[in-house]
Amino acid sequence: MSVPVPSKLLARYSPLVIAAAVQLVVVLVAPSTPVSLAGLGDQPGTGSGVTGGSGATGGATGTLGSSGTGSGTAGGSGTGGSGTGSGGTGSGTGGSTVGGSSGATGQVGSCPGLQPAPWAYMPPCRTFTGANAGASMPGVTAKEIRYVWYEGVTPAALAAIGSQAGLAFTEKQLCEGLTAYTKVVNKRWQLYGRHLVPLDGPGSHSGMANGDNSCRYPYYQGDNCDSTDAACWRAQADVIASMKPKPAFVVGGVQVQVPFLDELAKKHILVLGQGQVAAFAQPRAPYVWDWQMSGENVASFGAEYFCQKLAGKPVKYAGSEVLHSGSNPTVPPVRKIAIIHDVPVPDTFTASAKRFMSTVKGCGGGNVDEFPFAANVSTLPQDMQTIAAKIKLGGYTTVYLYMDLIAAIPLSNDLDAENWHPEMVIAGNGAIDDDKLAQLMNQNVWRYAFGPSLTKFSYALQQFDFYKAYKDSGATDDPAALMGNAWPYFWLAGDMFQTAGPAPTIGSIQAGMFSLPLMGGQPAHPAMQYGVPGDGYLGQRDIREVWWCPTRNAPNGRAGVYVGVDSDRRWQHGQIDKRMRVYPQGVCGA
Amino acid sequence: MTFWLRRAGGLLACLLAFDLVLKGQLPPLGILVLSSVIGLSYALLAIGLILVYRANNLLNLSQAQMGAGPAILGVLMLKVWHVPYVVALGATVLAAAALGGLVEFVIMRRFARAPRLVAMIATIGLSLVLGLLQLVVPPWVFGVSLTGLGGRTVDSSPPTTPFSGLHFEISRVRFSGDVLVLVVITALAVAALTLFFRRSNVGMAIRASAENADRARLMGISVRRLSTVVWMIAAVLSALAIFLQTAITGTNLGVDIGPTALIYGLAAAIFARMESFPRALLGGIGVGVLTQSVYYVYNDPFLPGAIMVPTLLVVLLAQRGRLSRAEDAGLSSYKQAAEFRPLPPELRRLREVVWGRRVAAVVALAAVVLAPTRLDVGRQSLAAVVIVYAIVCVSLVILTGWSGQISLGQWGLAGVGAFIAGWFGGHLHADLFVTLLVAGLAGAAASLVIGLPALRIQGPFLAATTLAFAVSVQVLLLSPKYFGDFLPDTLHTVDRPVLYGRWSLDGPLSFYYVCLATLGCALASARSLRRTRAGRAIIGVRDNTRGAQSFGISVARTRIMAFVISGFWAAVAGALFVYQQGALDQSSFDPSVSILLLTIVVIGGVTSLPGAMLGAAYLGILRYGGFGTQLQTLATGLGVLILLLIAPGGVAQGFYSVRDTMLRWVAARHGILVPSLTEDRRVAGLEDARAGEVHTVTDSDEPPGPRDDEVHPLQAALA
Repeated sequence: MSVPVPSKLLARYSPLVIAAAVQLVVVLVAPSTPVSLAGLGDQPGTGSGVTGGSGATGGATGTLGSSGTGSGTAGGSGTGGSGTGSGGTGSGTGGSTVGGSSGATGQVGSCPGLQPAPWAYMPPCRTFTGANAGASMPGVTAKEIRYVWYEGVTPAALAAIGSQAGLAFTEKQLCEGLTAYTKVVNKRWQLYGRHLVPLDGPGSHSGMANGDNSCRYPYYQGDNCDSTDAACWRAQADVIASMKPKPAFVVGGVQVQVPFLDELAKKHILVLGQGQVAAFAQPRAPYVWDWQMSGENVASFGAEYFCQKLAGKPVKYAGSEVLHSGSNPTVPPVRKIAIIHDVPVPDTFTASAKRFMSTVKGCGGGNVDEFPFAANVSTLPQDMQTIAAKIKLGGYTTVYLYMDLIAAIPLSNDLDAENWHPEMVIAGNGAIDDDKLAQLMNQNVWRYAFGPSLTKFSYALQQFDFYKAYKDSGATDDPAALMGNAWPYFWLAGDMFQTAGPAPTIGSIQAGMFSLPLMGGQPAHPAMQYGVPGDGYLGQRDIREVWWCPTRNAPNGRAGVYVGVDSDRRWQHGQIDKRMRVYPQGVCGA
Repeated sequence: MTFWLRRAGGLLACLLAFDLVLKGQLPPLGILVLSSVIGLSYALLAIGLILVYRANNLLNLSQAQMGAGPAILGVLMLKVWHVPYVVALGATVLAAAALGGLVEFVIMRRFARAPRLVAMIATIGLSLVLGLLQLVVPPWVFGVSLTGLGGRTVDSSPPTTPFSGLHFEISRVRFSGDVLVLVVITALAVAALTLFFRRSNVGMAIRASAENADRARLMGISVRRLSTVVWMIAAVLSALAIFLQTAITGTNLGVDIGPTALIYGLAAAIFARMESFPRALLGGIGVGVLTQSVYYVYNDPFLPGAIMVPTLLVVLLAQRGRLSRAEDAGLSSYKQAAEFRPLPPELRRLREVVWGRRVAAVVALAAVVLAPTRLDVGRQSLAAVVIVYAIVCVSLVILTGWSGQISLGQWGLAGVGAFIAGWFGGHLHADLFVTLLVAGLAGAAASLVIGLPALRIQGPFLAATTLAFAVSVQVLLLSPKYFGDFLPDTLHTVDRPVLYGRWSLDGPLSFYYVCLATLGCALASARSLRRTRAGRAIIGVRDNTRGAQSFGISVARTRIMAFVISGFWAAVAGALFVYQQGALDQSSFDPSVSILLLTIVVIGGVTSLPGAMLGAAYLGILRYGGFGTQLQTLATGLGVLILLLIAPGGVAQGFYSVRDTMLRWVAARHGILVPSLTEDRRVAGLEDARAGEVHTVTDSDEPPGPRDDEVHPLQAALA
């Protein structure tokens, strides 16, 4: 074996050494570092300040009264732009982001042709005559408010199974539903001479390509992105952000993943979709909105429910072995509370769970212990076995299920296997309050399930706004049940552009939405309000209280249904009282 | 006496380590027993893995799913048809045996002579097919399902068995009689298997064929038939585990063995040195007790998975010598990966060949440089991601293709680079090149740490360690809970730099070219490595470890060098990925991506750099090319299975066969006899004449071996 002589080595590697040396010098002289060190909340320059400027025009050209003119002027100087509202800490030299809110305070009165029905989430109507402000923000013209409806891909096998189970809709039903809702918002909401126009996706994302001749609704056909493929989701957002013409807003709905929302927000595009937690939506303000309740608020309701009704009191609604587990078997022990929560990647649950614990502890609930688990299907069964045993060994009488149903199924079986049947207090998130899905639980355990529920699944379709709106469009058939997931994004968009006034900007939209009073609150329509400090962008603000009846039939004909107390009355923060209703006098007979 | 002293010392050391890990807080006895019961399922998974590994020299990643269908069948027979327990159990066993045999006969037999990596990747596709059947078959047979989808729902509670009424408690943790059944049947299964393999003719024949399939075949043993038996046994074990477990804990929404559970099974198998069933049983129980105890004491759901890295390293170090012997026992002519023939020297300087190569290079270069300009911004962005994946594929070619080490956690090393990019790029706003360099060095260092113990042994041992590492990187290293001070802020933003203070890299296209340039560097580096003595030594160690040692090559050092270089490039890719995304998404570094990347590099051709690039292109085109869902499924496991059934050599097989056809044409045109191009045809012709039927070399039972005209790697190493 010959050993290379140094000169040979030098000859071989000298180009590399020289290149490395040059690179080192360049790094020192002209480093390749980012120019902007700013986050979303303090982006200078190009944000809403620019668009806020046209609020002046809106105020000037509309006939909405004096308040429009003043604030519109402030918007007019907003070329520096302080960017994005509550998250912003930047130093733009322009006017307020809410400069364009001038039009938001138009006259309220009777609106012939508009708003004929007391739909739950319709803001007070406004009259308007004259010209609007024209192109006050990207995607808005004098006549149009362009938007993108994102439609994901459901794998064929899953779609077929969903269809069998009545959990799906056909493409035609979807098309007709979205067309109807667009029509209804244009017909009933005050859009100041504009109307909503859906945009078709570019190239292979064209939704029109998928329609049949009987229904043509343009939408963005999403890619078949895996839920963990953040790159794929961000790339789709990039495509939407670069569309020409640009959309004023994007409806991601319940189908998109967090990176999609994040990327659109970073590109200063309004997006309506499930942000899940205020900790996500708030730093991206005011670009990510949703109608659903934030994870933080879910836990907050849970804490209030515990503090009012359960904490510090003897256990009452559990199995007999739990009721007699105290040091004196004849007296039920004081509740010992466990919160079971999943830890997704990234973790959006733990902070809220900790807050729940501290709140309940603060109201006399004693020590509340947490039982976190990984949202990992392959280890879930084993972890749940350990949690169930730990709950029994620890003598926990009451379990707060701040989790979704996939984990609750094995947990219910494992608790039953341990012959430990504690009070199962649901949080209401993760579809755990859905009748059909709760029927999958071990009924020996689930018979002790009760607590806050966010929505109501069991009503007849005719009672819901999504049904009424569909009919209002002139449709003669009924909408698919799952169109109830689509309608909220349409009323949300309608509210945004009505309350923003004739010169909508991202700032005026925010101001307009924040100025809205609490809406809804009826059994079939949860209360919604935006602008709540710290949780301004996720709407739902109330719960109902339910108890599980394992023997009564649900609308799907199977035994097991959630029964609401007080005729499904909904409760907001501060309204939850100390009374426990219905049970054990007979929830099933109620 | 020394033997028992060593055993006692080892046990004491384990108990002390266990106590240290748990900070002296031992869980109650009931929890320990429960953990042991949980560990039995890992043990059965491990035994199934060992069986197939010993028989076919491959990791069967569909082990759990093979038993899931038959187990669900048995459970539904109990719950819907209310048949006696014994009938349901018998039906489960029979169905599992039939399914195992069918899988081997119809699918895996086609991969009998394929490189082992290809066969392993095929099992991923197989698991997806079987997983789908779990959903489709029950509603069809019973009109009900366990999932709530596709038919009337059956509640998830455990089925009633003759043992359901029997209960006992250990320190207040309650167990049913079904737990005893699980324990007894598992123990019996292990004992029966041990006896079967030691005493029965069939068992001994399986062992013989496992140690050296070619020699067993020469002695008249039907290796194929034995392989069928092994797969049947493996499926039965899996089905038994799930059926018996369901009787205790009820049903879940399908059976899924993701990376974390796979690690646990692999860890138990490694403890058993991939050969001993009783040790696998102990290993499974040990893993169950360790993971659930850690979970119990620390109340952190991610620690059990993360603790597998140090555990595996300790286990590997503790039984280093024995593992080496265990591995060396298998001297069959299995290949890990297919080598593609190099360009014959006789043709290399011909004008057509020279120009052909130049044109191909220009076309390829033009394609990667110009094609993205025709794409929309989303596809441009994804093209850059594919380039990042291609860099990881280069690292896998070095590690897996050339060095022969299976890494199931290469994306975890990319996660190390991502962490550095998040820290240096997102926090410190450091120079791009400095960040990439530091990321690469960090990746190399991480490779060194996890590679040192594992690289001393071939086969699945490194696979398990790297997979465990990938899990730890995602849930610990990239978690704000543990390293929040180093990671980007709540917006997870990592802004792209302005290159040399002059050129903005904000657009997707500009950053695509940065990624492309980095890929060029990675390819040049790998190509250069392959041409050096070090590169030849890596190949030599892969092909003939003992031969290489006899020539004075340090096996460990050579492998570690390959792993370190590979880790460097994987980490650079991870850092680039973060810049490309403009964010550090923790979810992006899912361990399953590592398996995906190994899959695509095997599809492309793991031993050649162009093959790996073809694999990356395959993924990019099918997954991100804007095709319909039907075509996109070809990029998933199911598509992979179909593709590999048609072309076991992957995409590169087609590529190289086209090239060889053209080379034959050139050789014929010049009247040059090139044995390396014509030999396989001649052999096929002879076989045809002999058998009187259409027959190809790959179908033949002849063991593959080096051809006469091939230069032996060791000769090459010394050239």
